Amino acid sequence: MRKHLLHILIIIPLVIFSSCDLEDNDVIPTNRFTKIYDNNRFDSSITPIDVAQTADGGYIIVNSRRLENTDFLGINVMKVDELGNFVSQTDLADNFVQPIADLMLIGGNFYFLCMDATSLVVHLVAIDDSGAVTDPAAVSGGLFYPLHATIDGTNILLQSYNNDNKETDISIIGTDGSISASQSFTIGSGQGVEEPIIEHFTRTGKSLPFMVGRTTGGTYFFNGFYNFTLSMVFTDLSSGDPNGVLQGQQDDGGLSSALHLSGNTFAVSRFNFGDNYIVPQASIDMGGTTSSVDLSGNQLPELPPDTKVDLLLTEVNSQQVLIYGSNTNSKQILLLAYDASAGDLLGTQRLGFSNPYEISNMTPTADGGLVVVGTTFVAGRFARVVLFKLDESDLVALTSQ
Amino acid sequence: MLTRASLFAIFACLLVVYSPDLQAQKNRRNYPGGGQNRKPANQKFLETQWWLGFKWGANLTSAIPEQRFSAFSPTDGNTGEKTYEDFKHLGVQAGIDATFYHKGFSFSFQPNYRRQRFAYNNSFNWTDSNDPTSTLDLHYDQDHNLDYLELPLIVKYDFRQDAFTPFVQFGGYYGTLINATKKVDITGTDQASGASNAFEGEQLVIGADDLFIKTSLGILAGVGVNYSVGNLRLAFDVSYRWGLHNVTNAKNRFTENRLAGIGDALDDMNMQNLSFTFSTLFPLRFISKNFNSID
Repeated sequence: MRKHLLHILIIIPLVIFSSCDLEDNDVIPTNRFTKIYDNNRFDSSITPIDVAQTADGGYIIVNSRRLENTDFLGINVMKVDELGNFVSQTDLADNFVQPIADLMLIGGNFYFLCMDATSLVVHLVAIDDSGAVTDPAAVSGGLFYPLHATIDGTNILLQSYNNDNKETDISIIGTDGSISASQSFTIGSGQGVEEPIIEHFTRTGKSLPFMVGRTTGGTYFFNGFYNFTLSMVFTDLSSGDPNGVLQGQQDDGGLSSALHLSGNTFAVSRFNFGDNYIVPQASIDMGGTTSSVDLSGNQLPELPPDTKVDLLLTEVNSQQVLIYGSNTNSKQILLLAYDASAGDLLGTQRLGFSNPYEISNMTPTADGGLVVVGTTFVAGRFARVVLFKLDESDLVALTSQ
Repeated sequence: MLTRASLFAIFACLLVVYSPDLQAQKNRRNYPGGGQNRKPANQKFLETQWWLGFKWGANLTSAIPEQRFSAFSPTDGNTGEKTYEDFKHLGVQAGIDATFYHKGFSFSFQPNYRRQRFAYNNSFNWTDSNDPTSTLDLHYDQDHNLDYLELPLIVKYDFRQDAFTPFVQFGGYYGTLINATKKVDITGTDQASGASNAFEGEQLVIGADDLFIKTSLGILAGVGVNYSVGNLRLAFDVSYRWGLHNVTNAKNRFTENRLAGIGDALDDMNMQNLSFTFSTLFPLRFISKNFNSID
């Protein structure tokens, strides 16, 4: 019997200690989730543009939606709660089209830009934390065809296209729609030059990586057409002649994402005739004319040609980390983490299985995690918004491989 | 959520249940002239026995959802809520039975391999708002196999000492998951591609180890009958088993789920199980030189 008792005494601690996964299983459901926002409409097609976290822990998602009688895309704004569950949505009137990233938090409200389908004038839309959308207001100053916008202090830095003058406009606008500074840059003369831009809008050609931003030193930059070529252009907005240009290869090569780190150092990704490269430490001469093909970088054959790349800088485990988000040939979303200071690859993660997935945007969350918004095709055919929420431990795992 | 303290309490109870037996054994050795010794030698011998044998049988499982989850968050219809199929899918179990019997009570350790199966199904429908006859219906039948290495401790009470002996039993079990798979059968009708096109036979099978936690703890109660044939003891019992905790791995519910694309996410769920088990037991103590253990 002593032996029998001994066996029991061995089993009890074995059970207790091996049951640790019971305690570890007490997970806060807001930390990690995957949500697909489906509806039962066969003819519905919704593609996200950007996502932002609200003060209540939920999320605002700005989406484009297919319209029946135009190549332009309509606008849908969705509010979901901190668990990712759908709360409400608003379809803006069909005359408001082409919503663009970024979705910007300024003064407690979220803002994004779109345009009027008839006048092509840029409009500003405000959303509150509950997802309530104000009527779009026209931005003054005759700005058309919005391409990309980003926050610039309490203002908005906007890249737009003027098809009358064949110029890229870079403007600083307030949340009241007024313009405080603006500069125009020629795309080059000739009818064919603007064709890729118009095809970008009408979704009949490539989706081009337009972007605008500002370095910590105050230099503005935009990725757009300049002098017949998709180029990264550096300017102080004082003149239509740029300070420097990083040239691409017409619309076959150039940068697909960019983020200023310090001095002349940028984190970028580039594409060149179907190939994709990640360059986490790129030294770019902001005062001269150079070429994007000189940036070399890490070629990623698993990315399809001309695919979207999103890029952000965040802190994980007290380390500055660059996270690239893109799509793979196997129709998954790929996250690549790089050490922001050394440029070394830290790890990768793939999101999504079985259905096709495509990334639209991503943003850090208040709990140290990351939310990635994209498109999936439910039942292989219905374009729906998918939201991946990763927690801090996921990012630690991503950067510790 | 089950804490370590409560786990300890459960197994401490099992230990206490064992204790009288241990004490009785000890007392018998310390006081050989006690009342027990007044019985005939054979009868006294029969008051205690060790049995060792094999068990095998089948089981049916019901998964009880505590909190429901889905990878789909419907904005308009298509909830895709799961309908669980309770006690419909047969699993199997097989293992060893080591039992100590004393004065009608048996204390049994029964390590076994156990496959438990549970299933649910859900359906989705999409309709063209411009043409209500243009629809797509999809139906998912989702079957889960969970293989456990299980260590139950069971107390039995025999109602009489005959060749045909009914008994009741109760106890607890600890199991560790060694393998899990998930199979999804997809059927549906596509009425949007020019004609009514029914499709079936599409099947996905994935490894699901990451979707469930390793631990399985529970309690059980049941009834059965022993039948003695020569030295052998044959037994049949029916037990109902209550899982004491959520078996879904909450951390991996979405991120490790390869089927999130079809809207699937495991609910938080307890497992309840009905087991039917046959046993063949051999005595380890013999009463006579010709190896008869019973009269």
